[in-house]
Amino acid sequence: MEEAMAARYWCYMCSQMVNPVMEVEIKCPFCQSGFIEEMSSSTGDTQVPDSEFGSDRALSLWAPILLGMMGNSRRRRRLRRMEYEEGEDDNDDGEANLGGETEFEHEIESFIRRRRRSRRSSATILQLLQGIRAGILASESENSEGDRDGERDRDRDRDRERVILINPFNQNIIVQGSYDSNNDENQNQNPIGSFGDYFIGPGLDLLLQHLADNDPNRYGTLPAQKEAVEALLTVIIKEPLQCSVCLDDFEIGSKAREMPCKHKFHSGCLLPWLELHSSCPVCRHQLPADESKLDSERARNSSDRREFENTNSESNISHGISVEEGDSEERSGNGRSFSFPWPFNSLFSSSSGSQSGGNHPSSAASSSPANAPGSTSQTDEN
Amino acid sequence: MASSNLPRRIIKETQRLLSEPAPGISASPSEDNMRYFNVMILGPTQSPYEGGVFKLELFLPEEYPMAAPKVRFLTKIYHPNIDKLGRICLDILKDKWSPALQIRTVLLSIQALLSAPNPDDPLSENIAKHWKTNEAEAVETAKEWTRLYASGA
Repeated sequence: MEEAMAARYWCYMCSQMVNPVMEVEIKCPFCQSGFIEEMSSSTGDTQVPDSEFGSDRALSLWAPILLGMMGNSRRRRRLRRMEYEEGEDDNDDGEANLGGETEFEHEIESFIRRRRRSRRSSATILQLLQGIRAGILASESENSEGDRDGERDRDRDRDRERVILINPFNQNIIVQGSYDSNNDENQNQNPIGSFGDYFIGPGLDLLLQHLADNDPNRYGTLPAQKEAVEALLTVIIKEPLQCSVCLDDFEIGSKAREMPCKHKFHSGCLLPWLELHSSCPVCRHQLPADESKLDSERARNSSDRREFENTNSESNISHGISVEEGDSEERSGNGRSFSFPWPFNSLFSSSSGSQSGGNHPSSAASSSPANAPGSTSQTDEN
Repeated sequence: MASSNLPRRIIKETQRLLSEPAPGISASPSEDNMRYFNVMILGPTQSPYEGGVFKLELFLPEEYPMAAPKVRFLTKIYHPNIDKLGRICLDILKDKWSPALQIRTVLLSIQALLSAPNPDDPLSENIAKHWKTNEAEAVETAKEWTRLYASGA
C-alpha cells in the first residue's frame, strides 16, 4: 500500500517521478532532497506516460511560484506548504493548481499586461525568462550527460552543475543547465507558447537565489547623494585609528574622510560603499540618498524604509558591533534584530508589500522594514 | 596565483580567523579558492543544538566587503530561520550588511541565531509554526536532528 502511494511522487530537483524514501522526512531516492510532492490522485494508472508530465504540468506547478513572487503571496504560500509533506489539504491544493491552468494562463497574461506599464520590472522579467530559456536550450545540447548521482544534493556540486551567471549591472542572465526531462515535450509545444517552457527544472530556485544575492544594490539603503558625498569632510588623522572597511591602521598625519557621525574611513574605502548605499558602515547613520535614478515608487518605498531605520538604527547597529567586540559573552545579548525583507521588493518594484512573501512568505507579515507601515500600499495602477 | 589578487582585507581576516578563532567557530579557506571557506560552528550550550557540529560553507563574492558573504548550512538543521537548503535568514546577510562587518562577526551572528531562534521571522514556515504552537516539541525535534545529523564526524 505504501508502494502504491509511493509511486506517485514528483521530485522537483530531478524533474521526474520517484519512489520516495520514507524516513523521518520523505525524500527523493536520487537527489536526497525533500522537495518532492505527492502527485494528484489520478486513480489507478501510476504509469502515466512521460508526456503527461511535460510542460503543461510544469506550467501549472511553476506558475504559482512566479505569481506568488510577483504579488500573490497567498498562492505562493500554498505552494510552499505543498513543499512540505503535511498531507491534509495539500491534495486539494494540488488538484486545484493542476486543474486551474487556464486560470493561471489568464493570470499570467494579465500579469504581463500589468507589468508592461513598468519598464524596469518587465525588462527584468523578460531577461529572466530569456535567461532561463537560454539555459534550457543549452541543456538540450548536453543533456546526454545529465548525471545526477550526487549523493549530497545540499552540496555545492549542484551550483556548479547549473551555473547561472547574472551581470549585476545590466541583469543579463546566462543559465547553464543540465537537466533533460522536458525536452521532448517542449518540442511538441507551441514554440513561443506557454510559461511552462520556461519554468522547468530546479534551476529556478537557484536563479531566484542568485538574483536575490548578486546585486548589492538591491538591498538596504539607496546610494548616497553625490553632493552629500562631495561635502564630506577630509580630516587629518592625529591618533591611532583603524579604518573599519579595509582593517588597516591609518597613518598618523594621513587624510581620511569623515562622515557626519564622525566615523572616519579611507576615501577609497568609503566612497565605493556610498556609491551603493547611503549608510555609515559603522553606525548606519544615513546620508541623503540619491533617489534620482530610481522610479518614484522605489524611492518612496525606500524613504519609508529609511524613516523606519532611523528610528531603529541604534538598536540594530549595536548587534553587529557588540558581537565583534564582546565575542561570546555579548552574543546572547539584546539588540539583535532579525528583519528579513524579501529582496525582490526592489527587483519587481512596482508591486510592493504583498509580494514580499516570495521565498519565505510569512515574513510578509513580519516586522521587516520593507513592511513598515506605509510601505505596503499597493500602487499597481499608478 | 589566485591569492595574489586577494584583497589585503581578506588575507587579514583569514589570518586572524586562523590565529585567533572565535570560541566554537572554525573557518578555514579552501586550498584552491581562498574566497571559499569551510566553516564549522558548534551548537551553543543551552540550545537544542548543543553537542552538534554544524558545517557551513561561506563564500566571499567579488564585491566583498561591499557585498555580504554568502553563507549556507551544509548540515541539516531544524531551525525556524534556516531552510532545507541551508539558507539562513539573517538581516546582516541581506539588507543590513555593512562593510564594517566581517567573516567573524557574521559567523558569531549565526551562532547567536542558533541560541535564539526567531519564529516570528521564519524562513521555514512549518518549523516556525511548530515552534510557536509547541515549542517544547519543536525543541525536541531540533535536538533529535542535531543528534541525527550533526553529531561529530
